[in-house]
Amino acid sequence: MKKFVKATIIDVIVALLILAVIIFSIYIFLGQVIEENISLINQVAIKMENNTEQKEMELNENNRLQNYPEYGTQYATIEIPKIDINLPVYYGDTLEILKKGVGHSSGSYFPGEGGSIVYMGHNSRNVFRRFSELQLGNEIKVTTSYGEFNYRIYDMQLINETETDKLPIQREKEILMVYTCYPFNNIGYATQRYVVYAELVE
Amino acid sequence: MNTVIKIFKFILMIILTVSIISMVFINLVSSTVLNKEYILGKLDETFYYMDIREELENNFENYIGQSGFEEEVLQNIVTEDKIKEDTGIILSNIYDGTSQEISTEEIEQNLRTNIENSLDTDLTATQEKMVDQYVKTICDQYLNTMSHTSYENDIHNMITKVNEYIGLANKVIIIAIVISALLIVISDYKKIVKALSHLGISLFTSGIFGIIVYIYINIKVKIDNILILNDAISEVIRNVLNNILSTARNQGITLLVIGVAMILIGNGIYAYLNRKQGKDNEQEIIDKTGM
Repeated sequence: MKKFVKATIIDVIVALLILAVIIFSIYIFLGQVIEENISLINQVAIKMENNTEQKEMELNENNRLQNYPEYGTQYATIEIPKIDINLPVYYGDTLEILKKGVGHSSGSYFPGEGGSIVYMGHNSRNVFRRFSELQLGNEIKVTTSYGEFNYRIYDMQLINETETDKLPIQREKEILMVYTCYPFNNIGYATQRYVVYAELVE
Repeated sequence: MNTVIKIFKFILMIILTVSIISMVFINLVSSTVLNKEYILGKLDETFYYMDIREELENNFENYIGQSGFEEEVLQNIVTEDKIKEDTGIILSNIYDGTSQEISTEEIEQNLRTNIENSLDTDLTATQEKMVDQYVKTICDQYLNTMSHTSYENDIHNMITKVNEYIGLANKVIIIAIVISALLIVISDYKKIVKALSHLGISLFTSGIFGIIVYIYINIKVKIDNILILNDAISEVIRNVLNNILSTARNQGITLLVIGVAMILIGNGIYAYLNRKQGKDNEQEIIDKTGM
């Protein structure tokens, strides 16, 4: 029995020695290549954290928003009674966002902050197809978790997609600029934008 | 002399172990990523065709907003059967070296029918051109989503070469296994049952190596978070990698168990025979001396 145990222990030690030799050889000759490949794979292994916790949004004494919404999340709704529009507003302007509703240009201010707010939406039937029916003086209501903001349309302009100066970002006056592609019943790629300018009423 | 033989045996066991590990690795690769049927099975298992259809519809929707069409025009222009058929074409090009092309005729026809049905008035010449452009864009989008590479033939050539190398490597490995195993047995000719435990050592080591590789990769690589190209393809890649790893682990466990059994049996029989031999010698001495 003693001999059996001794021989078995020796065999296991030999096995571990062989394993050590093989692993050491791999480490010496292929270690760097393996590490590089692993880090390459990990570059496409994005950790998907389900962090849905959203801190409460509120305006501080300087009319600056505390706790901005996460990019791509809905933070408001926009109502335009004249054309029966009531749509969700998402922070961001990717195609993915515009599929869901109205996008908020991330370079512009938020309602209540006292600056330019830029919203955009497709000219499809369920979004801004009926923009042609809007008239000066029509109301636009934006409802957020931190307040309700009413705007009145004071101007409407047709611009080219490159005329970004027609959507000026400033913080002297709260202006809501909502635009969509033009012509409204366009087929194919539209190079013009129809912009509605509205000023804060209350 | 005894030490030289021991070192020689140790080297033989290393060669045998490396050969076994290489054989397991090569068989694993050729039966998974290099096997078209395996990939087709995984595509089915991971609902690839359904996911790709969703992906396509999402991509198509990106072109709807500014097109002036309603979303309905893109509905049901691509079926899962069409996706399955075209995936088969791509895999055949890659694995079998065929040069088939994906046809978008069916999609084009469905889309044009939907567009015509959605319009109330006849199109002007300019609008017709725009519709042609739109249809082309959607068809191109389909082709881009279906085939992420224009190098199918190059990949096929690469796979063919790899298969050739694998065939050659398999032959070399089998020869190495047979020769090293035979030499181990020959070097143990005086105590032949010990050869069983010596062969077992190589299997045991290979088994542990497989398990270590499984643990190491699982710690180092976040396989379940891998995202490549799109969700459907990522899911297939994650599934294939997990499958390869779990197969490596299972084969490692099998080799480890067989190795342990061979070590125990070899040492057990050797100890038993030694004991019996000792008793026989004692009896012989008693018989001879009469004591």
